[in-house]
Amino acid sequence: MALVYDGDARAFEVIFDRHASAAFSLAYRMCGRRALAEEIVQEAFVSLWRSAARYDRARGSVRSWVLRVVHNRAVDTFRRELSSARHDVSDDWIADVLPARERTEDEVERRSDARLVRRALDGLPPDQRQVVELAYFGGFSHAQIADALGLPAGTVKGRMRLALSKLRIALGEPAGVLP
Amino acid sequence: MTGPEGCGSDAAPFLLGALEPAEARAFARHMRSCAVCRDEVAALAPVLDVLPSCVPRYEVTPALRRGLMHVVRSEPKVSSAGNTRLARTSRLSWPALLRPAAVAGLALAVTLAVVIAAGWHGSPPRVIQASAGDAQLQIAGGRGELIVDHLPPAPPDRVYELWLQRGTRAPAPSTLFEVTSRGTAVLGVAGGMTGITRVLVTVEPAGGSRVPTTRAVIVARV
Repeated sequence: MALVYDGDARAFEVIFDRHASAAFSLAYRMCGRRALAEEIVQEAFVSLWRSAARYDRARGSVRSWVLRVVHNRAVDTFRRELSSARHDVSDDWIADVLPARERTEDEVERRSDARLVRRALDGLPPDQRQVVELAYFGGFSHAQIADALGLPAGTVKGRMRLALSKLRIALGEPAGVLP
Repeated sequence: MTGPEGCGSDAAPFLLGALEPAEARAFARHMRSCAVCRDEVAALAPVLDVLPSCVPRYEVTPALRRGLMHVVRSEPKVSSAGNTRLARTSRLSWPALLRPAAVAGLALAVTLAVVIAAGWHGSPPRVIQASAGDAQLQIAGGRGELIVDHLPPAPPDRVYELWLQRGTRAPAPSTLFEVTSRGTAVLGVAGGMTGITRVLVTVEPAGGSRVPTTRAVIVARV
């Protein structure tokens, strides 16, 4: 990363080759459209190239940093599209988002870390898993999810918190401040 | 964050990207003075680092890689701390770079010398500016790549189609494509450039056509 910070395009190419597949896979999982996913990834990596100085090793791996930027870009894109199209979040949209989980299962099984995460997700109560998938992979805000599911915003936030807490425990993180 | 749900209730939606931008900014400000929320975010953040690993893996296309590196390499390289690069890019952001006037300027400004300096592997590419449309055709080692800028999205139920013409023969269909929302695309010329005299792009009905049915929006003469 020090070389990327210094503007070394070859070093950046190495970073891209190492993380592009994960980045594209996340973007594609979120938007389901190859062209849009490629656009998100390209924008994210250009942004990374230009902001390499902001990378702080103490706050996580390069992979985490890359995926956070891709995720943020994807969410921004969704919100921009929703806003410009004046779409309401309907149950149909949610149904479109959720089935992707089934489509992915065969490939997920190929990787042990993926299997572990999937197992942890599957171990969540369905209402908690649903809000995580809608928020993280679907790019919906808590307010949109609350509207779509007919729930108070506080309930949605509470389910998100419970879900992440349980995932943390299931994935082996030490207990901390959470109940 | 301090509503009826109590302090810390926004940590999970914050990490999941589920706060609206204004809410996220407010929560970030709040965290600076709230150890409870800071601790909660720190405790939950590792989950978000591993969550993406459960999605199925797909490989990126070579065209995406080439397009990205084309952008990266067209920016000046600095030999010391990246402040120079950052200062420059803060004035010329990616969205600004892609505004129509900037795109047109960029397309004209990207010359053969720049491309050679960019470090194309093997022999230097030949760069041909399209005689119609905002595009460049780069040819190296018998392979061709059309780099399109500033092309509006194809109308509904229409798609862009790439055609390859050899001499006086009719153009042969090659690739269907769509552009990004910024009007860009990078297309490899399938089968190489041997014998090809013109590369064209037309708008065709969804699914493509066997012969061009509209006037070419991009023409590059080899």
